[in-house]
Amino acid sequence: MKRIAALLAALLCLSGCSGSGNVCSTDFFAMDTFMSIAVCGEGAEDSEAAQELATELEQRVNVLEPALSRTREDSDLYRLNHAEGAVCTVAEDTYAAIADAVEYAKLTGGAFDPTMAALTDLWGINTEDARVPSQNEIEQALSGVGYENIELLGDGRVRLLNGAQLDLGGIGKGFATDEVQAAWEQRDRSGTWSVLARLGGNVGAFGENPDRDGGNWVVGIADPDNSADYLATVAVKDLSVVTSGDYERYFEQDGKRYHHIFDPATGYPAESGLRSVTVIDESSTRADALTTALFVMGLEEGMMFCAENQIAAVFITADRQVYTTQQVGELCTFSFLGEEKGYTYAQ
Amino acid sequence: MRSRMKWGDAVIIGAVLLVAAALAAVLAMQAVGDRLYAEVWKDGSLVERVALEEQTDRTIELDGHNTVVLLGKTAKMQYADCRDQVCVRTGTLTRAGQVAVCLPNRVVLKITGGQSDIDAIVS
Repeated sequence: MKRIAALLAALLCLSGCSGSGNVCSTDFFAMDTFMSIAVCGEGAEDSEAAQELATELEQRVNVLEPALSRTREDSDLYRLNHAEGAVCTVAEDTYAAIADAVEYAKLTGGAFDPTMAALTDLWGINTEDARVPSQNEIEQALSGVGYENIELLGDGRVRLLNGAQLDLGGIGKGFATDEVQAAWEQRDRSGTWSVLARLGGNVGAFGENPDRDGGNWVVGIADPDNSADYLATVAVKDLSVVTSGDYERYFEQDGKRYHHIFDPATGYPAESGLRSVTVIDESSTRADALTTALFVMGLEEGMMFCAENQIAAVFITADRQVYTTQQVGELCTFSFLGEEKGYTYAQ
Repeated sequence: MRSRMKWGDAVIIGAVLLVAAALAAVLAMQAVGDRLYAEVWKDGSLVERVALEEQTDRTIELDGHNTVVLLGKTAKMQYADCRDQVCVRTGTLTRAGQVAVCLPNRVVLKITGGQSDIDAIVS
């Protein structure tokens, strides 16, 4: 009877062991946003190695924060923005991020521009000082805007011309996602663990998803009217998915919405008829820059740009249409789920 | 005599296996299906973890700065005294993996447990 009692106890215990136990995650605040890095794989929940990896990846992001911040007074960008045109030597990460920003500004013809700091400060979106500036103020802030004003001189040396002020916020989280991927690849050579990085709404999914058939990661694209919900999904692996939209950071004045994605040509929030743009790409930094640029370009110009440059993008328009570029189908599996919410998939 | 004992053991073991299988099925259905939890975090510490059931009806106040409302199997940041209101605008959370974040107040509301059709949302 003792044996039977022991057997019973063991079986009851077995029955109670539900849950996959395949995730070890770390949540933290960095870069002025909320981040979560999940290390996934068989038994990750109780694995010290998985925990160590998650901590290392978090630390990599935390190291990047001062390298990409322009508001911390001890940061390289703060020093550069206050150098009044003098040459500054910046850290390796900072220099690499600036170089990336310039590359994507060139690629997009300035639709993405990393020299918008003065304009962003002027509008003050998401601050207590948010307001619609005067035309004079906007023109003054625009006088320093232009990626051509960034001189990359090599060996970590940078100079800003014509009063330009750098802001790497447009690519910071993407850059951090790429660095998380690089750190994971370097650290976990055996391929034991996979990683799902959610850095302030940017998602990087690297390696096999142990909890889904085919090993893909299913990423929802937010509904602009209720960003906790989604209108579509993309199933991806070893890719980043990034969205820019007008629905989270904005203020309203006289019944008009002023969001945080500025058109470098006008100095006003881009009015391109779009609610959001999502880009799926191997480089999260590139995806980050491109979502902003495509939002500024608008649907027609944006679709043409994507076709020319082979970019996987999903456009959601203000008149509730969803468009995907040809590369979306080549890079991932797209599922449209917005019909019940009144959206149409225009293809 | 010995063979009768073995036969009895087998019957009991069989019964135990059946009970265990039934329990496993019930627990698995709960895990896969509706067992969702709302978690409220403040400054990196867990404040509350509440199982979301059909009859759930709770309001969680965080020092007057944030108000979380749990209603049925949903969770929502009803109020925040912060400047940006991103967490309030995030809307109603209904699925595991969804998160509403009040950055200025360092408050995170998220749904965990169960299984979700998605692994993350980009917004």
